[in-house]
Amino acid sequence: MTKARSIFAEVIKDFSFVKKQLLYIVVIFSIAAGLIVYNLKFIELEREITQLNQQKNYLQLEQVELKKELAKLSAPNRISKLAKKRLKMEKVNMENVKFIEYK
Amino acid sequence: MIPRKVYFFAFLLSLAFLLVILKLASLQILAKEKLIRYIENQYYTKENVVLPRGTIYDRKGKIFAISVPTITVYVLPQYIKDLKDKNKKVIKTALQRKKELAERLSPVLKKSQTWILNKLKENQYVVLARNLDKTLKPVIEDIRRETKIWNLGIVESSKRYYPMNKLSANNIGFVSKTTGLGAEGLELKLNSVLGGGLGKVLFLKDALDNPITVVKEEKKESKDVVLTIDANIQEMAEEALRKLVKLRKPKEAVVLILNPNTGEILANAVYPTYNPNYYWKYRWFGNPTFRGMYEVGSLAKPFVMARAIATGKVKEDELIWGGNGVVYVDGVRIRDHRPFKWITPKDIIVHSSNVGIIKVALRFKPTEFYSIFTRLGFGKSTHTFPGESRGRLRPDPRPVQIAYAAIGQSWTATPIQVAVAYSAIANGGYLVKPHFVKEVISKDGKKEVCQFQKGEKVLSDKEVKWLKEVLKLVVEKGTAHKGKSKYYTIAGKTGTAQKYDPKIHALSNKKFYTWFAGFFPVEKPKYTIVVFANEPKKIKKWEVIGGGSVSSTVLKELVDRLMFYSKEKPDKIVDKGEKNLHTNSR
Repeated sequence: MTKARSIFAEVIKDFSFVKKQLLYIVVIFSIAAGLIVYNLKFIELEREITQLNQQKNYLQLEQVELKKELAKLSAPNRISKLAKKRLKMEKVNMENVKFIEYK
Repeated sequence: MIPRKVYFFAFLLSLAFLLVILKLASLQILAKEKLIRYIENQYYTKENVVLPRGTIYDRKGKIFAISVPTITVYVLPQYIKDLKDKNKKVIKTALQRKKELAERLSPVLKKSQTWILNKLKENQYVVLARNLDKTLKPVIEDIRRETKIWNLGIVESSKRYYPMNKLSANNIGFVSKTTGLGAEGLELKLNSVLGGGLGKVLFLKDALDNPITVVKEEKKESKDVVLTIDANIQEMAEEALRKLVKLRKPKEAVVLILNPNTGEILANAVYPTYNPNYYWKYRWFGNPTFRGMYEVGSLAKPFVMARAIATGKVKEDELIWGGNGVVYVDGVRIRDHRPFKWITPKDIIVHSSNVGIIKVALRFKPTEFYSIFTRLGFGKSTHTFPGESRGRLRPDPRPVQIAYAAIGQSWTATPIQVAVAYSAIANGGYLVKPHFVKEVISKDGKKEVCQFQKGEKVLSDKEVKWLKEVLKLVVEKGTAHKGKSKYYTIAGKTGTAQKYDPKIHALSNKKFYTWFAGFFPVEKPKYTIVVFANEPKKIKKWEVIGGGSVSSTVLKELVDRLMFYSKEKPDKIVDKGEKNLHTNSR
């Protein structure tokens, strides 16, 4: 019984020591809590960044594909063939050209 | 006493942390290289991936070359094992899974199921397809998820694509599929700017012996390049060249268009050509504009005569004996293409008299004579293109050699050197530095404009004035009259050089180099043009092959079209009764 009492007394003493350090403990816990919240936010942001990066990569890929398509479609020999065959256009005849002077 | 215990435990904890930190530091800093080497030694295999390069544009923003993202699909068949449920009961055997995979991949990879199955029989790392369109990546990822074959992998790579196919191929060149670096043309010359090359993907073993991939690539800075070439002018030049080739079937041919004031190469059409998208199917990747050395024939004459007049060796109104078309130098008989009697310096150039120009050339001292060509840049590379030739110009003081050199035989030049020399007449006597690169654009959009620097003045004003006047006459009523335009003034000179025939050990009477070099419009030149053909064939038996009949005819095809494209008004006086309105430009 006395042993238990002495242990209890020691715990009380320890607790009083802890009580003295309470401010530090609160500070440490609040820093830890802050870090956890920050970490959660960080993970969420990371996920968002990954998603945006995927979206960016997809858009970049689409841009390259469109550039490639545009380059293919605007190739001068293709335009020239279309102009001749589909639109029945002919090479310039300077006799039919009129130059207008700007004053 | 209690705080002492706390301090003691705190000390122990701190010590433990310190030890962990020290161990981490030793592993990550001191032993880093050793450990990386150790890991790398455990890899199964490594795959090279082609890194993207900068884009090549024409001067108006059209794409000549672009790196397109692609994927390589691989699999590690040894890890395709029986699929078991929670009770470890086999649901699908490894073979069934492989068959399923082959069935699913076959339409995507456009390869037969048998071919894929055969590949899956191998144990090691197997590449199922390379350079696939990256848009197929989600499809392959779906197959992997649905079949639960996690060792079906994708490695991102890139391939070079040339949307204009053969257009300007000999200038642009191509990128090697194996090294990812430029192997020909401007792709080769601009390797340091465009970047690219190879990255590595390592396939490693993790702690459980499962494969993992690690991408190891050196990031190289790549920049985009804007060329001086105009794709539309290039197409016009190539169309004209195609017609020439169809008609004359030469071994090689060139149509080169240059801005005489800046040295910008606007078009360089070359025959034979190739498709850089399938470069491995071709054997010849040359560019005669820069790499070919050819005798220039009569293109040399105007420079000799202009210098003779400027230095007072010949008077403008002097009459020179044409020797009835024959002259003997050091006992060697040199003939003209037709007999001339008394002839003026102007007519020597307009009608391209060999005898006349030889007599004038022999009035020079040898060193003085050869300097006519060396100061125009002949015999020196312009350093515009990889593997560019210097041409061959070795001063030989013997009169017969001077005679041959004056008519453009016995020394050689590249078409680009000819273009630079004729540009000097067009721009008032200055040497220009021919170039292909207009701008370099870094990834952050910063532009570096390649500044044009006016070179040395190599022709006096007197020479320029006389040359412009005479070369205009050459096109109007001289040897190049077949190429004259009704609307625009052109100045130029035709050239025909006999090729050396090793069979007869002499100059051939059947094989020629034919040239036209000139510029237009004469007063404010916008374009220098060089047309060259190596061994053009006769259309009719009686026909005489020459620069006039072969090369100058290309002008007919090009000049009006080019000037209309540049929105340039005609500078020739048009006959009365013409319904068009031509007025002076402001």
